[in-house]
Amino acid sequence: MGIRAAFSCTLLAVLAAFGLGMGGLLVHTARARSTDALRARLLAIAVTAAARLDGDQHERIRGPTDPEFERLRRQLRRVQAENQLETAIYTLAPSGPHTTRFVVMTNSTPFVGETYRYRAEMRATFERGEATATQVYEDEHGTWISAYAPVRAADGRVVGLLEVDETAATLGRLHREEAATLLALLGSCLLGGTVIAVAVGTPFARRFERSREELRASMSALETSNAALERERRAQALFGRVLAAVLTDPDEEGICRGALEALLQETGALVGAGYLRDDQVWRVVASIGLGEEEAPGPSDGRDPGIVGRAGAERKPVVAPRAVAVDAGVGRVEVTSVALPAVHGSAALAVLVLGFRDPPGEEAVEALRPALAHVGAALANAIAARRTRELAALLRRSEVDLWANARALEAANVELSDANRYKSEFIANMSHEFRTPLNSVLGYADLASLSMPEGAGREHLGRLREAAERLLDLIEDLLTYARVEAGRDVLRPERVLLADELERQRSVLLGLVAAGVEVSVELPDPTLEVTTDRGKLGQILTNLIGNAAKFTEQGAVTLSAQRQGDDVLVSVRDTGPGIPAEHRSAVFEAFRQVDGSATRRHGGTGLGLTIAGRLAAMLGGRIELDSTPGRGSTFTLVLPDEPVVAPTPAASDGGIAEAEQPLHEEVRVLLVSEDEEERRRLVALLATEGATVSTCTPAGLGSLVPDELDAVILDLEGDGLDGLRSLRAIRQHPSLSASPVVVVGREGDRPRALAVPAVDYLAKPVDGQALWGALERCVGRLPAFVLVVDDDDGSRELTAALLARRGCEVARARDGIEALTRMQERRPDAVVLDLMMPGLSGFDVLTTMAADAELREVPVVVLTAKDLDPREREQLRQGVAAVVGKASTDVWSRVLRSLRQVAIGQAPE
Amino acid sequence: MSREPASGVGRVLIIDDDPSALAVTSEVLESRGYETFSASEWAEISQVLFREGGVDLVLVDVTMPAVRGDRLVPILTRYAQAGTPIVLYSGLPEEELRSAAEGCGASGYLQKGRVSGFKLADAVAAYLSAARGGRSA
Repeated sequence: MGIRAAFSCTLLAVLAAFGLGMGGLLVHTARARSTDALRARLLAIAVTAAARLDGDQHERIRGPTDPEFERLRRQLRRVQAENQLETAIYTLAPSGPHTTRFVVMTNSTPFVGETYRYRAEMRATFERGEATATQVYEDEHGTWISAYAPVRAADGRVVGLLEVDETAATLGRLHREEAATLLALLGSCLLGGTVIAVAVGTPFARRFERSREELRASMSALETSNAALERERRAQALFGRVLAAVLTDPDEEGICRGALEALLQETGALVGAGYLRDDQVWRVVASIGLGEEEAPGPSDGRDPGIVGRAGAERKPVVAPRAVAVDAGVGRVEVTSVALPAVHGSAALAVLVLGFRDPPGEEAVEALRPALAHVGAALANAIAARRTRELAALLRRSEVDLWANARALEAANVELSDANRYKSEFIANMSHEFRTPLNSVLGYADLASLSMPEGAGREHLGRLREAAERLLDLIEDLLTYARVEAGRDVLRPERVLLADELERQRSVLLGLVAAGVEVSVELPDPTLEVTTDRGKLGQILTNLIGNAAKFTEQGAVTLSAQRQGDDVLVSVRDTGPGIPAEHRSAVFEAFRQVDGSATRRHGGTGLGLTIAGRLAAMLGGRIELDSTPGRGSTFTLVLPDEPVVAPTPAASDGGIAEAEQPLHEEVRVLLVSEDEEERRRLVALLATEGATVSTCTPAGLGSLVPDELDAVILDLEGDGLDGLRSLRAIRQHPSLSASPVVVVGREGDRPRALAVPAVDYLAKPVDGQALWGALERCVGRLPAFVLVVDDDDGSRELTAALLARRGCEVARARDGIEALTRMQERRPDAVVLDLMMPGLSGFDVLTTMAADAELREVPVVVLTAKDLDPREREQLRQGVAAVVGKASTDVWSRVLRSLRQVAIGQAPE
Repeated sequence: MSREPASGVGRVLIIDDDPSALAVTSEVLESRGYETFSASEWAEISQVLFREGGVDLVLVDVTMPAVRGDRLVPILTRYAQAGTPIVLYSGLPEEELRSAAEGCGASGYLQKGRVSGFKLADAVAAYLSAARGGRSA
């Protein structure tokens, strides 16, 4: 070989090394060049073909049997043939905000009418009429590159989209051709060396061949790793999309639908259905891509087996064979895969996806993490729904409880109504009689002022006497009637007889005729009896009245003594006495032994009757001992045993202690990058009764939040500049004023507090700490709240709700009670009803405003009243908030108002 | 006694739902020289109570449709000047009137009819002088 051979060997080695080194570069260059070329070519085909299509005809196509369908299809087939395209040309029409359906396809017709979510690139075409081409993408059928061009109607509207695709096979061929061309170029550059190499011998040629193979291998390795990267990207996209879908929908069906849409879009499945379990039956709650007549019902016969199996086995189940389903316009052969969304030990939902080509086990397996999230979201949604249902149920049962209590009360009232009506009637009669008599007497006095001494004034005096006598009669009659009605409630107490006898003695002194002696005999001055003091006094007053009436001379003696278990109180007179045969009659109504006595002494003759009835009420009796001509002794025999007081019906209490699961809606926006942390915090907050919406830091900019009470910001994962989100919140048009609780690492505290935030919590954060911080945002409830409402249900609910939140609560049934309670103890806040009998809420407010001590007490008005402008104005002055009872979130609003009130007050 | 000249000094708030009752009571008291204020509802009551100088005595009916007078007493007591007698003046049976007065902490009670005309004026004078005595003591 010699020097020449050695030289050419060296040269070739150098060249080969150079060539190999160039290989990687070449592949890249080849890929880029070939992809760009292909995109340009596809775009050109799509735009030209789309421009030739009649959009109006296109718009009329509903199915493969329409005449326009075949015409356009032939047209497109010509395009396909002319351009030697291996894959079909499609046209699509929009079928929803994010879905599209196939209209014309150059190859098989079964997919016509099939809908699917469109790719992002299609948006530009559908919405703006722009022709676009995709980057290389992958779906379950392979790796693709596509171009889209608008199909327009005569009036210029975009009515469809024409899609031209190329597969990876074409792309790969192009890559290789491109690479080969480049290699050829390289080769010709190195022509001389090659000639020498060929001349020198075939080993070099073989080596060269080998290097080409290596080149091909490295190229395919690159493609493989590219595909792996693409799979990874898609897995992440799926994860994100499913998560987004399940987080935005609060209810189970919404979560199913969202997850199904996300899965369909990401996996390329043609159709899908979501099932939730109703007892033992899987019920369809969502379906995508299936014709309406195909909308699967509970007894869906397609393949209930795989849904049931996936649910029972809690793992994906692939249908053994493909089935044809109606995809709206045409029938599609699909292989179904049932994917259970599992949480804990239960499958909460099953999502069924129908694929044109059965997916591999690996592909199915890849979906499991996303499904776990669906399961978790469902578990949350179910828990939330159950809480809501429970709350509603308890609220209802609360109302029922009140209804029952009221019914019982009503029954009670009915039972005692007869008596109560009588007594009310009597009290009213007393009032009604006395008021005009009072005027008669008053004006009689006033008239006498201007009346000169003489007959006129004497007549006025008589008038007065007559009126006063009438009053006495009324008193007796009414007392009698009242006793007959038996309505009087006994109020037993310890009565010192010395006191009572002294009182009666002084009354007696004013009644007896001149010269009649009045005396008291009380051997034991400490003698006591347990009885109703008022009734005892009434009995004795009647007895002494009787004695005084009939005793014209001598003495009336009051005495008391104990006899065994009884206490005897006697009134002894020296009157005419009562014959034995009349003794039983003296206690009968309207009977008098000597009718003339009444005429002489006045009175109704009811006194003894009343005394007898009253004595019976006290459990005693009146004994009469009389000797005609010498006088009478009336003795009241009272048992001295503790009279059992009627226990007042237990009021209050029970309801207040009842569990009150009413949810207070503290509305929180949780901003966190970290998905795991976000879910954890959402769960914590939900347990404490907050309504949480979530958002990533990146999403802050486009966020249009609902009304919020606080923002919780998780600093971690917020990048190096951990405060970017905090600043974003502070600059956000509708968040800037919200209190922000920052959650982050202990070390970040000083930096975080440099930007105004309400609170900083160092991780790990527990529910209590979080709720505590939230309470600092939304405000603590006032410590002592007075709840004023005449409606028992409303008052007790409010009171119980506050008590449950740790407030001390006082209740008042009306304005007077409210003012009385406020005097006893100044409340930190008042929840006030407006329409109450007696003193209204407005009266209470006026009074509070005039009272220096109550002026500053904040009031939340809770009313069912439609306020007129004047009232509104009045309330605006002295009231912290007005909450309508009819509003749906009435309790939340009351609590929120109270919390705000508390913020305004200095902490204790 | 019952024909004393006008000699009373003091402001009396009369609370009653019955206009004729208000009329006779205020006329009787005014005939004795008292200044009277009639009120049937809280808005009127509070206006009188919160005015400069307040009142020297309150007569309050018990049976009123909107609110019982005895229930008003604790609030009247609070918003009247300290020591102002608050007296129930009602046509209720005496026993009820007494227990109502004891129950609500009124200074006392006067039964309509039984205490009417000049007797009422005398009773008012007695309450006022007791209150003034109490105050100066």
